[in-house]
This record gives sequence, C-alpha cells and structure tokens, in this order.
Amino acid sequence: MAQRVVQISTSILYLLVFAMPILGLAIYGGVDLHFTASDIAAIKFTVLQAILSAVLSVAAAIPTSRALARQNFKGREVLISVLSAPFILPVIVAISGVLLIFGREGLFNQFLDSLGQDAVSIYGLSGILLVHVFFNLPLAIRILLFGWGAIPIEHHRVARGLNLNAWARFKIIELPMLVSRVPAAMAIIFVICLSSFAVALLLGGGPRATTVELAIYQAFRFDFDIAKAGQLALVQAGFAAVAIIISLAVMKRLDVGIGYLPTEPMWHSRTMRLVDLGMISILSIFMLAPILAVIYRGLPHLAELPTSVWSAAATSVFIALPSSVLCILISVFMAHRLGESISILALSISPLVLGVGLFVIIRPYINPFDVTFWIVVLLNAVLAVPFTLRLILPEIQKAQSDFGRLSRTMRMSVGGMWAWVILPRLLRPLGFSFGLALALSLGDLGVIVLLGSPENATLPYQIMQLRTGYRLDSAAGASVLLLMMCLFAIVIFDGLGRRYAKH
Amino acid sequence: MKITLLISTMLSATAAVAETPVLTVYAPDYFASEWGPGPAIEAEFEKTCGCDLQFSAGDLLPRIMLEGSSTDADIVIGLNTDVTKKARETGLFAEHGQDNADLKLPIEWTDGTFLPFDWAYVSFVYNADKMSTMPSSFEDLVNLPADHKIVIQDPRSSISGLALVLWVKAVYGDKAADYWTRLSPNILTVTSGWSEAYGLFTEGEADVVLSFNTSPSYHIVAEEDETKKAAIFEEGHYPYFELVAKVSSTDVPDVADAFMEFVMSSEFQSIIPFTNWSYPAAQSSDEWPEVFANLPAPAKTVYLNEQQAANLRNSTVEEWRNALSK
Repeated sequence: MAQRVVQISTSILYLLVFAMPILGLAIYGGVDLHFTASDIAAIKFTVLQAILSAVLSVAAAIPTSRALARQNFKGREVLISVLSAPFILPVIVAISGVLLIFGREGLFNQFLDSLGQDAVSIYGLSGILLVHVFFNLPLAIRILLFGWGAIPIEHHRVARGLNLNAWARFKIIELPMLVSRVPAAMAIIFVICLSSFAVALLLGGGPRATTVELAIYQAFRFDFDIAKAGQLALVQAGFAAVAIIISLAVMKRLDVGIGYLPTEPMWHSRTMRLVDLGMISILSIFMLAPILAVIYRGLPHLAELPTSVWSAAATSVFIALPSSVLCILISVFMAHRLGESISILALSISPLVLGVGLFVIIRPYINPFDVTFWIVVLLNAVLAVPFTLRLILPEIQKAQSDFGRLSRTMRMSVGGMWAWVILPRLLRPLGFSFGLALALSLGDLGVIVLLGSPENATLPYQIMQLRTGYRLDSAAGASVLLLMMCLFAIVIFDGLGRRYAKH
Repeated sequence: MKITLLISTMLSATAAVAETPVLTVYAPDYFASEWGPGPAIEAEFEKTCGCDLQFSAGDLLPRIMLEGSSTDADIVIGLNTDVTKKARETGLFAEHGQDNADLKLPIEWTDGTFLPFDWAYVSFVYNADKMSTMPSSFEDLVNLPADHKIVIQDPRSSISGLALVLWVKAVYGDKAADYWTRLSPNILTVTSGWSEAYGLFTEGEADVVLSFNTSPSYHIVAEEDETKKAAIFEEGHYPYFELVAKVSSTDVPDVADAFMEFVMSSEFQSIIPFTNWSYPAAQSSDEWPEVFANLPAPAKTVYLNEQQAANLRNSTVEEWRNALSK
C-alpha cells in the first residue's frame, strides 16, 4: 500500500514536470484554436511518417532480436551495447554518418556504381524512414530482447517434448510474448518520431516533409505566436496519448518467466545458427557502417581538438552523473504501469516547448539562467526515464511476484523487502539503465539549446558551435569523442551490473 | 576551470553583486562562441569600459519578447533586418545614438534604433572543382545539369532561408512561384538551419549551398582552399545586415552607450572579418583585409526594407512551400 502511494505520487509529480510547461504556455499565450492548411498538412505527414517508422523499426527488430536472443557468440554483449549508438548520438552526428554511407557520394552508391547500377537517392519519405529505423531499431531490439529472455525455458522444453513443429512453437510460445511487447515498442517509437524535425526535413528533401515540430519552431521563433506553439505541442501530446492508450488496450500482460540462457541445443542446429548469424551480420552492417563512418571521418581530428572541447566534455559528464542518479531514483520510485505510460507521454513534448514553458513558469520567481544547471539535470533525467523505467519495471514485477509472498510470510517491511530482496535482483537492469541514462544525457542537445551559454557548454552544444563556426573537421573529431564517451558509459555500467547481479 | 564555474553557479544561484558594472549582451550562439567574435570583442571592450561584459547566448528575439521590459539585457546584438519590425514593435529598444552617415553600406541606412555592425550578400556558394559551368544568374542556376544539386535553408526556421525567398521575390515578383517550381529539380534538400546545409556542402553531399558571398574567405584563410566560390548574379544580391541595439530598460545606460560607440570603432570593426567572416559595417572596402576586398561582389543590390519584408513574408513563404511541395 505504502509502496503504491509512493509510486503513484512520483508518477504524478513526474507528469507535472512536463505538463506544467505546456499549461504555462497555454496560460501565457491564451487559447486560439486555429490551424492553417499547412498546419493540417504537417499534422498528417507527421502522423504518417511516425506510424511507418514505428512499424518498420519493430518489424526489423523481431527477427534480429530473436536471432540475438538465441545465439551465443564471442563479443555478443559488446555488439548489443554498440548497437545502441545511433539511439544516443545527437541527430546531426548520426545523420552525417548515414550520409557517408547512403548519401549521394556515399559508399552504397559507389558500390552500386561499381556494379554499373544507377545511384539511389536517399532523399524523400524513404530516407526519413531509413534514418528513423536506424535511430530506433536499437530501442526496439532492446525491448524485444528482454521479451525473448522472459520466456520461461521450460516452455521450450515442453514444446520439444510434445514434438511441436516450428509454427506451433511460434504460435504458442513466442507469439504471446510479441503480443505483450510489440504494441509498447511501437507506441514508444511512434511517440519519438512524432517530434522529429531536423531529420524529417533534411532527409525528406523539402517542405513536403514538414512536421508539427517545425511548425512549433516557426510559431515560436518567427511569429512569436506562443498560443499556436502551445496548441501544436498539445496536438503532438494528444497523438502520443492515443498511441499509448491503443497500445495498452491491445497489449496483454504476461507472467514473466525466469528467462533462458542462449544454450538450448535446438537452436544450435547448423542451419538455424547460420540463418541467425546471417541476420545478425546484416543488422550489424546496417547499424555499424554509419557509426564506423562517423569514426573514420572524425578520428584523424581527435588529437587536434581545442581544449574547450575537452572541458565541454567534462561539463557534460558533470551534468550527466547527477542527472542519471536522479533518473534511476525516479524510475525506481515510479515503477508502476501507470508511471510507464505517463513517462512515454513525456517523450512527445518537444524540447523547445519544454524549455520555453519552464522558462515562462519559473521566470517570475528566479532568473532561469541562474539555475540552468539544475534545469538541464532535471530535464535530462526526466527524458531518460521512459527508457530506463521500461528496462527496470519488468524486473521489479518479476522479483515481487517471485518473492513477494515469501517476504510477507517473514513479516519483512516494505523497506526491508526493497533493500534485501528486490534491489539486489535489479542490479543488472540498473547497471544498464544507469549507463543508458548517462549516454542519453551526454548526447542530449535539445534542452541545452534554449538555455545554453558558452560558460557551461556541453559537448553536443560545442559540436553545434564548431559546425556553425565552419569547423567541420573539429566537429567531426568532437563527435567521435562523444560517441566514445556514450559507448564507454553503456559498456562499463552494463558490465558492472551483470557482474554484481544475483540470479 | 569550467567545472569550478559551474559549481559556483550551483552554490550561489544569485552571484554576489560585482563592484564593477555588468553589461549583459544577448547574442546568438555563434556570436558568443569561442569561434565567433564574442571573446575578442569582450576583451577589447573591457580594456576601456571599466565594466564586465557578459554574453548571454541563445535565441534573441523570442527570449527578449518573453522577458519584456524586465529583461536583463542591456544590449542585443545579432538581430537581422527581416525580423526587426517585430522587435521594434515591442518598444523595448532605445535610440542607438550613432551617426548613420559613418556606415559604409550598399544601401542608405536611416534607422535610428537598429545599427548594423556587419553585413554580407546572401549568395550561392559552389565547389568550383565539381561544377561544369559557373552560374552567374538565377536562370543559370535553373539551367544547371540535373546532377548539380543545391541545398537551401527553410525560410520557416532559418533567417538566411527567409532572406533567400525574399531575394527571389524581389527579383521575380509575380513569377517567383514559377521560379521555385523550375528550380525544384536541382534542390537536393532543405535544411532547418544554415549549419546543416553548409555541412552537406563541405562534406560533398551537395554542390551548391545557400550562404554568403563572404563564406569563401573562411576556406581561403583557414584552409588555403580556393575552390569554394560565391556565384555572383547579374540580377543583384540581397544584403544581409546583422544589427545591434540598446535596450531602453538597461540599468547601465552609460556603459551601453559606450558599447554602441565601440561598435563603430575600428577596434570592433577589425575583429569582425576573421571571426564572423563578413564585412565590417563601418569600414569602406579599402580598410578591409585583402582577402575580403578581393572577394567577388555583385554590382547591384536588391533589397526589401523592414516593412516590405514583413508584408511579403507570409505570402512568399507560402508560395515557396507550395511550389516545392509539388
């Protein structure tokens, strides 16, 4: 009971952190529901590309995550960590990597050219989808990977004992897991893609690819139409809410099992292993080629980076650490299905609206620029919660269902149960979640743009500064530094979590 | 160093009142950045002002409009003529107090509030190594081979993108929509800001980029690369002025006035070319560094004043969007 109260009140506080800025904008700007034809076109296009991006990302994640879940090979854990890179990099860095591979002069077109084929243009809806899949596939794979892992190994053994064929095994054992995880994965990716702006415009090839976020930006920057910016932000949040409700309605909750280790002999038939490893190779090439391109482009310039880039890197770490601690605390306190749904909603609020809204609310009391540090720490934490909570929640539910009754028979207090029973079993997802929160915070540019100033420049901000100052080589070098830091954070903390986890 | 600064910000949210007056200057990120003119200007001004100049970087106009008369800003630097109407209507800005006759601009300057400190011509910059013909008019641009790709900025999110649609409107009038339709096959893509577009160009993804006629100076000076050139159009070019203004509610009016005077000084003006890669507004071409004096420049200027720009903005942007959405 006490636990439920904490979870629900944390969720409500969390909701307030991002609902208040929108309310603040609504109060400041007033309400004037009026959308032009171009706004309507933008809304339609935004929803279309977000649906397609979500469907494609999850469709690609199903077979690849399944292959990753059941095959064991050297470097598997590191590969899974490295695959998260596109998800955490600032978009412009990730796009530059994608263009080095799929752009007009990219490797892919050079390859086609050497075969005598016509070049393929990335610009258009297909380009937007390609990049959104590139960004979000890691997330979908992570979510499903935990899903495959949650299928009790006994189910597979029984199925084998009953001599079920592949289709029956899929239908009885795997399909229910997919039904329980896929809607949530699609909902979260749909919501992320709703606020796409620079990516959609750049890869969409022109104003055909206008999204709601661009209209918000325009309303705010040029027209100073706060009312309109606020309303468009509400439209975004509305679509996000619909997606979340649909996913909750479709989804069936399942009992979580004890999980399997990838040692089951039936997956080790030669053909199956070959098919799986082939799939993993294709996935790795698609995901890692642009990342390697970013490294190839920037590595030669890493040594000659100005000292300010290194101190910006230190500032980023200095912000990311408290932010990640806060993120983990919020995630644990909010570990409830209600909290999970609320947190996804947070992703639909554009950083611009969040920043401006906060600015409007707190300015009557304090100068926002005096507390930039805390605002950035708080917002980075809040924006990482949807991802960390998703990783932590199933494990908490599992620990509670496995040991809850036992602990109660021993008359253990709620605090005691958390300290001695649940938390020690959470070390693994906590480790990875902490690394992920660190990486997300390190790579975040959105929030800092409005409140950034040269004194507390973070690394992504400094990369942007280098780019606007014509220094693309240094920006490329700094991007490699950022990439290394993000991957280092994930690999280290994921490793620590696994090492000290109790099974 | 920065970490200690951060800690001190954390510990004392409202820092102790400094003994020397603080001049707060709102500036765009690129201006206040280590690679922009900000640091040199701060050092130079602090030599004589007996003050502490502090840049506060970010979006200028939205921020000052949100803050209204309670703004901390004493000076706002880096505004552009296409949005000054909105800025002027806030009534937040005071007279600049400088003599407009000291300005050396391609047009006559009569504004008593917003003072230009630098400028350049909006231009298409191309990579001479990759082009078969050098465009010298808007029509040449349309007639480029299909594999010569142009990248521009979106007028709805970028101020240089807005300058381009106004420029095309000023040249083509009623036929502007038709021009955009004809140019559209050569447009590779549209980006939200200048740096994304320029990045696509320097990384070789696009052959032509919307930028400024002064952009090649960076490549010549910093990279000894002479292949990046600005196309000079016979129809004339749209000048892009960056402006500075004094905020009426400033608590240090004397220092603010001194800063406005400093903007017109040769110390300030000579910092501009090699840090902001543009022409200084109060120097004539014989005072510019050689590389700037040697840059190709148009013979003719096409310009829409603040009122014309404000009147045309919505309809031209919509015209542009429709033409490129087909």
